[in-house]
Amino acid sequence: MKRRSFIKHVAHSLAIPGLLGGMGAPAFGREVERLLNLATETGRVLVLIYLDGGNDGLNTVVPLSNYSALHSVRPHVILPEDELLEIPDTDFAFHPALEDLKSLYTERRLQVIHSVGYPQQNGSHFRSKDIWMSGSDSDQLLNSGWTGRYLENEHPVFPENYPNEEHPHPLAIEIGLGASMLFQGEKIGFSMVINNVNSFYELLENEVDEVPDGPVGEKIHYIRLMAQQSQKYGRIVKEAAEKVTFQRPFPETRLGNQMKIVSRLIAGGLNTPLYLVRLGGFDTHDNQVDGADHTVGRHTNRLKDLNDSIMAFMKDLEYHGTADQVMGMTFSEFGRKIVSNASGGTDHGAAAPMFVFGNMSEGTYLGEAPRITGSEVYRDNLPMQFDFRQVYTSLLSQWFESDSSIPMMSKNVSRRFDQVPVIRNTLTNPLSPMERLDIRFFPNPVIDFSTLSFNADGPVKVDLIDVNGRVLGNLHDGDAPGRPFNLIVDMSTYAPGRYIIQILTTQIRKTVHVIKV
Amino acid sequence: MKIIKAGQYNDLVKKYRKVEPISLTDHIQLKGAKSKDYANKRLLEINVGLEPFQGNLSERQVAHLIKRISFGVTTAEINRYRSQSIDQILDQFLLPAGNSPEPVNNYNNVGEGKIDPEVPEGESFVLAAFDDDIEGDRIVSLKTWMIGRVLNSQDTALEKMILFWWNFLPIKLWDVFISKIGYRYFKMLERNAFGNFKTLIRELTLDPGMLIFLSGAFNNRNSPDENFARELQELFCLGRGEDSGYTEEDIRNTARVLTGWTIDWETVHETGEPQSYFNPEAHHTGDKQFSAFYGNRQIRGREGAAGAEELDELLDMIFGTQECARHLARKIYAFFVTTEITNFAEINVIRPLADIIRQNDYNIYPALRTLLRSAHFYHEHIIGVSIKNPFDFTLGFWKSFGMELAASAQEEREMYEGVLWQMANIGMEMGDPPNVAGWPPYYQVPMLDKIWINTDTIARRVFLTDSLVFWGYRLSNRSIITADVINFVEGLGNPENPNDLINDSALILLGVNLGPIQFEQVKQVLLSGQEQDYYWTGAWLSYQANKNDREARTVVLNRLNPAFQILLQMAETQLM
Repeated sequence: MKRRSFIKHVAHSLAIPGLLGGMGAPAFGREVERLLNLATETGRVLVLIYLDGGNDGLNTVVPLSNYSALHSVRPHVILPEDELLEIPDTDFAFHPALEDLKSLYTERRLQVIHSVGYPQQNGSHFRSKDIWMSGSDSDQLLNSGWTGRYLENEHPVFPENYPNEEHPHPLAIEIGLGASMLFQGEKIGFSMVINNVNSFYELLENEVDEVPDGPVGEKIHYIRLMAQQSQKYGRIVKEAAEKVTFQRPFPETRLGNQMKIVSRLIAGGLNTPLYLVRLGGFDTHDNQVDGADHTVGRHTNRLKDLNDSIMAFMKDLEYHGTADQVMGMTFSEFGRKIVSNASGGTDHGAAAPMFVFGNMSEGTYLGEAPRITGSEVYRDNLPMQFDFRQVYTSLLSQWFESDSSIPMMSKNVSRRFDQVPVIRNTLTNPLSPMERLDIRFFPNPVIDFSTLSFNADGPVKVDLIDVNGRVLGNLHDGDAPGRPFNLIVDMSTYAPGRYIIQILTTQIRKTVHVIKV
Repeated sequence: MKIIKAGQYNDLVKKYRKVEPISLTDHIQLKGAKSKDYANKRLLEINVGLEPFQGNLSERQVAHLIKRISFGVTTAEINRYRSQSIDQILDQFLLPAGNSPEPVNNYNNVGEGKIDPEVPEGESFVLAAFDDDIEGDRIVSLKTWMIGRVLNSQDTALEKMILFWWNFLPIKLWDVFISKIGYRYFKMLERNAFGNFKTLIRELTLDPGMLIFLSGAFNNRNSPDENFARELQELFCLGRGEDSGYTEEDIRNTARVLTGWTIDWETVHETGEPQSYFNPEAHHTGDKQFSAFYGNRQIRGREGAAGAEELDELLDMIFGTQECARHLARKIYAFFVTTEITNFAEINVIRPLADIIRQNDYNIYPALRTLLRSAHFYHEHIIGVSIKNPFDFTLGFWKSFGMELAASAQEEREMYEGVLWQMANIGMEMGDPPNVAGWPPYYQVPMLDKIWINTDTIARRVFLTDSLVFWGYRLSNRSIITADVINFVEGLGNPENPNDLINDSALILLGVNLGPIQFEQVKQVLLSGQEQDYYWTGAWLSYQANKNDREARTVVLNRLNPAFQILLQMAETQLM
């Protein structure tokens, strides 16, 4: 991971309410306050939330363009249309349990990436989980994780002489179960494993799990204590956690308890870049929903946990002033079939949406909501729009600003995965007025023509891009003629839909989301 | 002829000893109290003694017996012995030593210009003349040969008994620094492993290794050396218990009795078996008066060759005390049952055991057998209560997992030297206990066997199992070894059932079964988060249906590796 000054990545830290607004003019005072909050150097964090079992994407982010068709193919689990949380200016809605995620979305702090998967979907939990964790082709057999190999590239001699002055903190932390494949490198594992939520608090209290009765129990107690104290990173993690004496309330749920720990460690100044937490129970073959009321039941409970935990997490991050350095991402081994089954559930499917969230999220959505025709049969799966490895590489590149590629992410060593925008533009120095582009685009939505206005000096390149990241046309390439630079954008030839205007100067990249009607 | 004193070659040893001996007791508080004061209070709940265990052994009890009398246990052993009686198992395990191959020159290294001038490659060096240029290499090879013996041993308690004696009546190979003397000492322990304690002590007294290590070789009428005379009583035969009443004067007189026994240095520096002998000229010929503890016995001083006879009189005197048998019984108990000796155990196990030892003129076989079939030995508080020593932990793992072994004596050095230093790093170097009292966890109160585990050794132990299961463990610059987890699992009774898989593995690898929380943790990892057992069953059976299917194999391995990693990280793995 590249070292960089904190000032660089606190740029554009403000979560701006409002839709598709580009960058508004942030209240200057508040921004300074935020910078002061980040007076200590802290690194960027990515929290991976694993939805274990295969999350039903179609009941998480529900396509609305043909609701009746959707109803006809998945009658056993379909959510009533009037209960859905519609996302304005889009053709999809969120599950009713995702109210807070919707508000994050409207604040542009959460991005929906539609239909993420991989070619030749494997329907086995174990195998597909390994593929997602290892970041491999469907038929490529690996026993290391994509972040594990990434960390191995960056830290080739780990764990020899770790922790050290430059890297005093764990390189990865995972909560729940044992060491997952995600953080396994080819030669060594990189994560500090906190087996469960209890063991974290036991670490803080120098306690261990309850031991068996009798003299054997006394030995076990002693050995566990030694093992706990021997954890190279145990003391460091403990110290970080102990700096945090107050946290905002978290739901007392499986995920909530894990997210609470993650937030606490970040607030305590731990420079660990990667966290993995898990929420199980998404394998909803039967009784996914309550027969009488589809808005309640197992799947709803899981999504509610996800919703409440993420929101509590975001609020706690805000409280501790760490929100701008944290991004989160949800993933699952597969989505579920389009057609529901008679047990009130759904079977293993293929592509599904991912959420990428955080104050620095690009926001809005990528791709389009799945199109359901009503003629789908049981074996049909949603076609993928994005390869999951595009999301991985985008996060590594845009969030960790890492230029190192992850080894073995395909059998084809020269294969590259196109990036998609997941992280909002970064500025080198948000306090310098010279760096304020002050972008405006009006009117938006656009019918035929709009005006793009921004401040820039020197060479500027302006491109029109579609939601899949394809460049449709170059609007300007050359020195900016003046401040502000007003550019008339002709959208008349483009089909209705969503577009992105990307402005590249020598120092920064910014985007504006445009709706063509 | 050039004499050699203990520790004389310490500077040279540094070249060979890749791991500085670690002290496990530096940071712990040592108190001079009796061991029984520090026994775990819960052990007091044991209310059965030396009376025979009734009924059939459970699999856990069979595993317990085999782990305690050998190194680790294998699934094959459980299958072989689970329906047998204790007597049948002991008949097999307590057989005396047969013939075994000698250690060979596997240390020649032409590239490094290291060539034994006397012993050709592949030939035994156990009679080779002392040669300080090559002796260190011979000793490392002797140590790796000892490791190979343990790893290749089958259905026998012999190697565990040799360790018992080495810990109890030790020499330090590096201090002695003469490989053939080390080998001779080893053979003496092997020969007497299940034999007569008095015979062993007599041989030990005359053993060239011991004569060097405790400087008996230099004990003579003009400059007495009491080193061995002291330890003979304090550590080997009587101990310092409250009923042990020998005096300083007794030590002096013991030393006098032993004057004259020394090493024939010619046999060290020439090819052939090293010998000791009695030199009447060095013998103290005066009468030796002993204290009331020994019934005020006097050993009459003898002139000339007859001076040698005083030794037997001395041993008769020492072995005539009740304390001698009790001391031995305590040593056996601490090694095979638990280091924590309660009052109850002292009275109901150790004393009756001492009686058996005395009734059998110090033949230890009947006593050992009685202990290993006693109700006390199989009490639930005893099963799993011992912390594995580094050999039990490392070599036991090697055997349980059927790890790769050296294909020949030639390969042993390359294969096992890494293991030798690995074990040294966690507190036990083969052939070199820290001092004449043996390894501290067997006697050092108050912590006793807990001494094996500190924050450093536990991390190293876990790193070993992590590496063996996951990434491979580096044996040497040339080879990396990995545990074949699939092969291990295939040997279990019902590996398609995740519950059986975990329980059966725990039986082999852990001292006690896992508690519900820990069990669930391991199972969650094995199922990688899935809630239904059949996900594992399906994955396992798909692999079994077609073992050439690399994808099915990878799926199974990607579950088994982390599951065994976490299983072996459990505290229970450190117990036996």
